[in-house]
Amino acid sequence: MLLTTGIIETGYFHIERTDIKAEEVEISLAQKDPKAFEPLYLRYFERISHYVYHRVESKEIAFDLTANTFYNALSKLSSYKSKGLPFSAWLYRIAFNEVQQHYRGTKTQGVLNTNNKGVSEIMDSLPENSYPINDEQLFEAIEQLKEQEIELINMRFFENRSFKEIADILTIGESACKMKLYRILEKIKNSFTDK
Amino acid sequence: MKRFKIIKNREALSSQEINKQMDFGKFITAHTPVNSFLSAKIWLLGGAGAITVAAIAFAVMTMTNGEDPKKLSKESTRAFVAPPLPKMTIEPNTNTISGNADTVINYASGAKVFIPANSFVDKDNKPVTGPYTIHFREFRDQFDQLLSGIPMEYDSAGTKYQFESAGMFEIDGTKDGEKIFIAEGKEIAVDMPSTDLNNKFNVYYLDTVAKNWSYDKNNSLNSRTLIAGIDSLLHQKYHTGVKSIVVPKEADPNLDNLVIDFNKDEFPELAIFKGIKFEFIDRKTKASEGVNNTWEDVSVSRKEKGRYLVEFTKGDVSKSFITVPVLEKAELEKTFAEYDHIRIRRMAKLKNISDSITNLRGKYEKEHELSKNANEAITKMVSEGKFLSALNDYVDLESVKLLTRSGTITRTALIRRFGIYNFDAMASLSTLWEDVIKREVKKTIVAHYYFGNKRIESEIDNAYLIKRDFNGIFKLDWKEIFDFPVTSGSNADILIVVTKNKQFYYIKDEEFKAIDFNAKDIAFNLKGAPVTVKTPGALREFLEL
Repeated sequence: MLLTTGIIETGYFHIERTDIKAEEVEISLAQKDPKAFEPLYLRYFERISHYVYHRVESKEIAFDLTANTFYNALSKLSSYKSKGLPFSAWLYRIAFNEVQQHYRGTKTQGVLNTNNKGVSEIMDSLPENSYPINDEQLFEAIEQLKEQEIELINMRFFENRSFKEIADILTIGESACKMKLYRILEKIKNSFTDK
Repeated sequence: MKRFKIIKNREALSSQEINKQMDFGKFITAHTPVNSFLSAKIWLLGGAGAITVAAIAFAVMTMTNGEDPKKLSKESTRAFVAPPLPKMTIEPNTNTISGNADTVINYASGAKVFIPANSFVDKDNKPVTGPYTIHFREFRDQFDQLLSGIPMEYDSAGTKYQFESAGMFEIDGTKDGEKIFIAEGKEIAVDMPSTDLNNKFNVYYLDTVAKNWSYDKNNSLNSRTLIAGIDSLLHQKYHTGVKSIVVPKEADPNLDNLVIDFNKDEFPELAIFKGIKFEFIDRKTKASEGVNNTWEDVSVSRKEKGRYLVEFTKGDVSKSFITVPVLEKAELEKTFAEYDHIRIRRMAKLKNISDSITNLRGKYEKEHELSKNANEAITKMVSEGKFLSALNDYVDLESVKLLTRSGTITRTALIRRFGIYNFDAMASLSTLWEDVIKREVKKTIVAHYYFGNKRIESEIDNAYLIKRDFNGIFKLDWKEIFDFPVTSGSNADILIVVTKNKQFYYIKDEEFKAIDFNAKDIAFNLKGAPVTVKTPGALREFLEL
């Protein structure tokens, strides 16, 4: 049983259409009065912090970039136009850009935050006939992927996000998202078979 | 160098670490220069100029919210808050408080006002000592809102939003007839029972100077009472749940019994047993007394202590017997194992609920230890929807209804000045009243208002639309009445019209819904309330609100 709530809280991300409508009202208020941004800030601060920390090395950098994300979000809010997607999708995209800018600016090595569950899920998802591989080989194969491809692997396997959520963040369709992931996994598989 | 540093199985950020960083006040202060109402040109002044601009902006933003409450006059409130029917107003409760200690005022509705010691000052900022009087009135539903004359629209930079309310109240204080004020740094807590567990309702303060609602606090749900309610609910479920299975006894060979084909849906506590008989508890009573007559009907009803009343009727004649459910020895042994299984399963389920809630409580208590502020931590969880999410796993819908019915759920406003507060959620006019009012695609429809044969347009002062399942009212101003912006029918239930001489008219339900809103001209054939309807209670009853 799920109670209906005005707060978007069903699962980590999933959001009902009615909630998107309610959120649009909040956004519209915040566009006119920055103080009205508070509910959105409080609702998403934690999620964005987790998202950023997943992609950087230290907590200090994570919180700096999270603060930048919200600062930029509020600054750009007047130009925000709802496309029927959750507001968080927009915030994640800003956060992603913040992380990218951070690495470009500091010219430091990026971070791939992994866990055992995600690794074994990738292994399980690799198309059949892959050669048996170990974690390090897998990471090497991931390293050869494009930035957006790594982001998709990251969100799907190491952050356990749904296809719907990933699709919203990347502003692509859900089926396109699945297809992209399938091709990335093919690419990883091929990187072993080509050797 | 590799592109990535691989980090394996790193621990995620803790709630405490995140909470420490999450500070909207600090964030918005830092962000204030990025304002939509100051032009980029001004911002280019830079340096000291920019600071000046920011300071001005801050002054503008706080002018209404930060207004010295002592300067707010009753007159301004009256001009803005205009009860449409002055003879039918909701009277405040008045309580005189002596002394200056911490005080809790309990109202019959279940509302509570928590007043810390030394909370008040007079107009010269001097401390007020008791006796002083607190005036408090509540507006719970559409009818209260109608009588209050309090605007239920929220104007945000020219865009109007309709408020949906989970309760509204007005609080004021006086000493010797003079207004008193809440001292700086003091907060009074007002708890209002709520029947809505939804956590979308924020707290708004009615700023009578700016003539608009002012956002005060995110989410009003009081998690403290919610947790207490869950505990109480658990207690009830744990006990009544187990007791609800009636354990049949072994049939006594010396007592007569009856086999009755009873409805198992009606007696679920007996449904699991096969071959139930109803045994007379009175040794003198014989089954033959019931059986040997021809009866037209037989009924079974539940009595106390696992007993059942069996009643035979024929015309005006009836005969009843007190019985207990029994099973013959063989049947009893066969089904007792099943009963035990069900009992154990049920106990286990209840134990799981108990454990889950204990864990839930433990989680918050842990937060309490870590954050040194449990209330803040729980409030945060509630505001983020996490509390409800956790609750969903443990408490079923029926239980939630029980909680809301019992008045266990309350909403809390922490107030720093007297006035009118509302636990509100915004609803977009365009979606809410989609079928009633489409401002964007408004077409000119001339509406005529009749009372009998008399047209009363020129006499109208105010008109309101009410939708029974939406706790808010929509006020039409008089211009809209003549240019009724209706396009395609109505999902409202009642149209109420009040004339300048405070006469009350209405059209509601079937008659209102039967109106063809697509017609070029609309005629509202209004009715008046009977002369016997003189009090708010009578009017509420009459309108079936």
